[in-house]
Amino acid sequence: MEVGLGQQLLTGFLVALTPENLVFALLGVTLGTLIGVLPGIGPSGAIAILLPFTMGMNATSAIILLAAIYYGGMYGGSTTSILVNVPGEVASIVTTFDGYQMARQGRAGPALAIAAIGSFVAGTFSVILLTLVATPIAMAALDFGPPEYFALALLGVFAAACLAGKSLLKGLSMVLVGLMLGTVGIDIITGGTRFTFGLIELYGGLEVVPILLGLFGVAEIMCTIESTQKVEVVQSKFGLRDLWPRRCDLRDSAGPILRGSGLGFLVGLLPGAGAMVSSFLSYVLEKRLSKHPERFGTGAIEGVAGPEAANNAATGGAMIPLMVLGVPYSVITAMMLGALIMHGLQPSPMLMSREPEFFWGVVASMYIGNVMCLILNLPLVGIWARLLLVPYSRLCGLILLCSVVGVYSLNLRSFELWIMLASGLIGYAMRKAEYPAAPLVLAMILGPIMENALRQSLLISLGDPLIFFTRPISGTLVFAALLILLVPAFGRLSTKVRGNNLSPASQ
Amino acid sequence: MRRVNAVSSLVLAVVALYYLFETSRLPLWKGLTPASGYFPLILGCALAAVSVVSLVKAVAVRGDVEQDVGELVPKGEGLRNLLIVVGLLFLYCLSFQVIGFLLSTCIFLSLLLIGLESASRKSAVAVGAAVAAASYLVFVMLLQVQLPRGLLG
Repeated sequence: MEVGLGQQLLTGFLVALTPENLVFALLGVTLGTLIGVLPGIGPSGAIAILLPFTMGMNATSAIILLAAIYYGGMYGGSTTSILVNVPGEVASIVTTFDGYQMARQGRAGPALAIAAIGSFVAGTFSVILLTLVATPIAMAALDFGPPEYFALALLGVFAAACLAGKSLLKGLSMVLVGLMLGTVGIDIITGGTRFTFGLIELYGGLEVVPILLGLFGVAEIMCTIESTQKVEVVQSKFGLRDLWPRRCDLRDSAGPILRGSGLGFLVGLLPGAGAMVSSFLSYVLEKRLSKHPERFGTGAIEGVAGPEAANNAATGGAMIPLMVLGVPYSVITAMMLGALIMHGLQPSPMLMSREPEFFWGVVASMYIGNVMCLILNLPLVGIWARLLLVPYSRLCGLILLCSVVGVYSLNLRSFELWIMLASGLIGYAMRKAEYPAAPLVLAMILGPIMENALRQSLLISLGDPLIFFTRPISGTLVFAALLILLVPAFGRLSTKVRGNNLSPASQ
Repeated sequence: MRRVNAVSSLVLAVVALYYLFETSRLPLWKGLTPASGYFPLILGCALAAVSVVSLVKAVAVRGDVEQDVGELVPKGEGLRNLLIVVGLLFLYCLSFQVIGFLLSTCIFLSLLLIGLESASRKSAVAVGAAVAAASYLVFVMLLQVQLPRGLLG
């Protein structure tokens, strides 16, 4: 008997409103906001650290906690962007353009308030959309077979390569390195070992958590600690009156918040894009639509409202490929995939029907979590602002302590600690050479999915690679993947050729 | 940046070649299906090709910013702080399982405070011990994480 959407959501709220899950949601949004506020490891690093500790929890509570850290981090990142001109995490880079200018003009309070309100509206909007589209997408995905999953993963890694950094070649190199790291260990089909160099510790493959913490956490700490710039907070004390935006601020922000919500959700669905791309696109859109685009960059409230809405809406969109298709399209959702697998849940179109309490429980908790984030971010903004005054040298010690404990607790041995340290040194060198780390981690997680799907597809087709092109969905996705890869490459090439043709030497 | 790009492309090319060398020991095909060496072969060839293109672009194509590699390396206080953090993290990882969580954490945090903030030894050790103890309560007692006892057996 088919269960209606309303009844499913009610089931979800019954799960999310248990005292245990409410506590985990509150803990998650608090941690997420804190991590978003403090420049350092970001939500992905925090999820990586906490992942091993969730093994003792039930699956629903674990994902509620991790998802809360995810969208809590989006809320918190705007605080440092506005008060210090340093983004708490990458999705809040755009908020520095106008948010910090507003703070310098004595309008930090309204900027923070609009960022929080925009995040709340967009976060709620994206969860509503998630509720509405999850079932139809899951139904459509029931027809997906190995060729479709291979094509989805290929689209994900190519998009990550193109969107992560300035150089397509560097992004592609990192994707390939990540895919190669994913081949280490025992081949699950044949049982043979690959690239283990005789080390028993590598038979199970390389753990993602130490590599992620090394590339994002340790490397970030190294880059921050070498900088001798002192943090200057524009304003650290806030009364509730200071936070209240003017009527014209609310009126000017309404349109950008609504547009950012829609844009963010759609971009969150796409591979490799995520919260950072959605916030940039929102900024560009608002500047294009504005009657006074020259105001952007000087303290325009639309430049805060739209991007902050977009980066929060992207979190709801990003949950769809993860929970409904089982293919994560960002580093954070890739970590959550790891958590789901650790708890014995395989994300797929069948997850909603097999584990309805889990799926709708997580969705319902996202509604509740957004309310918690709004409450935490507005009245407590003064506390978050004062935390920014804590010297980074003390924070980095705590971050490293949590990272070491988290990594050690995976397998109770030092091997992973050395992997984390080596990844940190490599990650530091990568940052200096401008190689993006996100494509590497995403590819490492998508790699086994891709390889299994590839081998199963070729088994079905008796070795004929045309199977990826003859099936309509798979063919469309492969074509889209190639388009994503080749269009920027041709674009840059033609720009260079035109540049050479226009140069005086060629005339 | 051209020099950095050239060196990094060369490193990636060497990695790709070594990966292909290891892949050559794996079977590529079994009956009608790809074996364990099939996907790695594709990846190794792709990385080799991409790194060669990057190397050629870095060496032959003009237009990239010429940046001295020395400008990328921190100097003065920044370098000192960096070496302190990396060195202490290395020692922390080395001693974690040997002398145990509590002692290694206390020493790590204390030395970090002394090195980065020039804190007095007494206050650094007091803070380090307090944070290590608090962490023990949270991780071991509350979260039931198994951490090494080391010398405290």
